[in-house]
Amino acid sequence: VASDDLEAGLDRVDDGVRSTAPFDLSPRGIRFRPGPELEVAMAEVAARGDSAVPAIADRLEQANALGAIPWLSLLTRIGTPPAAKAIDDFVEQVERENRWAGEFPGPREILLFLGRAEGV
Amino acid sequence: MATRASPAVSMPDRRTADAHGRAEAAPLPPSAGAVLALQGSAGNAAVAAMISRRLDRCAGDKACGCCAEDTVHATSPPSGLTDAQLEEDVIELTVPATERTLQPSFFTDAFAWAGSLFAGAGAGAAAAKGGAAAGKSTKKPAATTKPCQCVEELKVKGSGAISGSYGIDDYWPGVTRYWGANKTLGKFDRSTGSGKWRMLGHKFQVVGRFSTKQSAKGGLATFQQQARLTTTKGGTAGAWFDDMNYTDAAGGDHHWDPNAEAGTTVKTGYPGVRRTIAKDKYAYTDPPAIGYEKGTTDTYRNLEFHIFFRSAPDCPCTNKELDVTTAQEIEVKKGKPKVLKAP
Repeated sequence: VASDDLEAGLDRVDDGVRSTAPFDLSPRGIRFRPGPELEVAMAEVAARGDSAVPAIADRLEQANALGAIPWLSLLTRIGTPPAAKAIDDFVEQVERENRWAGEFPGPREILLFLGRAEGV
Repeated sequence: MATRASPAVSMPDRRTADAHGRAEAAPLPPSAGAVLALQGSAGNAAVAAMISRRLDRCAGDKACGCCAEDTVHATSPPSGLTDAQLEEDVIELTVPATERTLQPSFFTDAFAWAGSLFAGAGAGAAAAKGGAAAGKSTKKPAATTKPCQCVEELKVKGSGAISGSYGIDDYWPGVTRYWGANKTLGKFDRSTGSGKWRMLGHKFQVVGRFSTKQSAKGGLATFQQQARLTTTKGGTAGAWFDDMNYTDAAGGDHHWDPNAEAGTTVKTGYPGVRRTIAKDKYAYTDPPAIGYEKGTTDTYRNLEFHIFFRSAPDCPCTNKELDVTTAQEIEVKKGKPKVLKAP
């Protein structure tokens, strides 16, 4: 069970993303550009390391495609084996379920964001 | 993000394409004169006759693999050469009927076969050696030049129809439904299908016109698109970056090359976005956008573009470089977007 502090930190990230929409959208790929306040909120969560991974994975599971970007960014920042495994599990699930097919961003854009799309 | 200079795209040397359009080092073709020399040196009329018969057969059989086409046209990537330039190359590439090219292995095989028939193995080997020597041309290679492109005009189109026959789907397959009409430029504001998120942006097209001249190295005209961002109204702009680069979540650089032909030039790691839309015009499209949620988002973005169209480096051009600037400025307050500038 995530601590209240952690959940509050994740809420701040979520609110920051929804209010500032720090995305550059292009068929080339999605750039995630958090502003200063959102950057601070994300750094606070990332500093918790592995202890934050399960709660981030939960948020990721509930997110829509665009909303998944900041949570994937957080897991990438943490960068530990459990965080990497959470990303791997997520990618496997997206591919298996063909999740977000027909949306933008869709599976292709998510893989591009993770640097896992072939040919780019 | 690191700024990347546009990679130079070298023009394939059309004169080194083989009879079937494959690029390879071109052997100096033995001429009919060499065939005549064979008759008098290595010496066997039967061999020369066999070669002549095969040459005759080649005249009606381009697929036999033993001879060159009358003319060679390399077709990939599209060169955008003018008719006059193409005509000039055709002249240089034309091989008269009396000078059709034989593969070196054909000579070797023919003389080995002849040697075994008429003079034994030793003589056959000597004949092969003589044949190889006779196959060398004594002509000095002419000083050659290659086509090079000079930039003449650069335009950014932000409205109306996309120039050329290629729609957004041809530049960026599979995204049309999110970027609006396939062949129309300008503003779009559409649901992404991802929750309440919408996508607001502008499709613009960059069109460069060029002329073709000659230079020692040859080369193509090239695009570069730089950009910089200001994320607070009245704030300081960030540094210029190469806008064809894309950075993934882990900071890995990925590149879309505005000088590689989409769908026809496969350069590993650098998918292309350029299209040749006329004999003398290249173009690419870009549909930059922001995401926002109605009623929720407060954001601002000023995305400035500095676009360059450059002549091939050693081409004798009037214009070494043309450039143009444009910008996309969007402000969103409580989920209500307002376009302040558009390409």
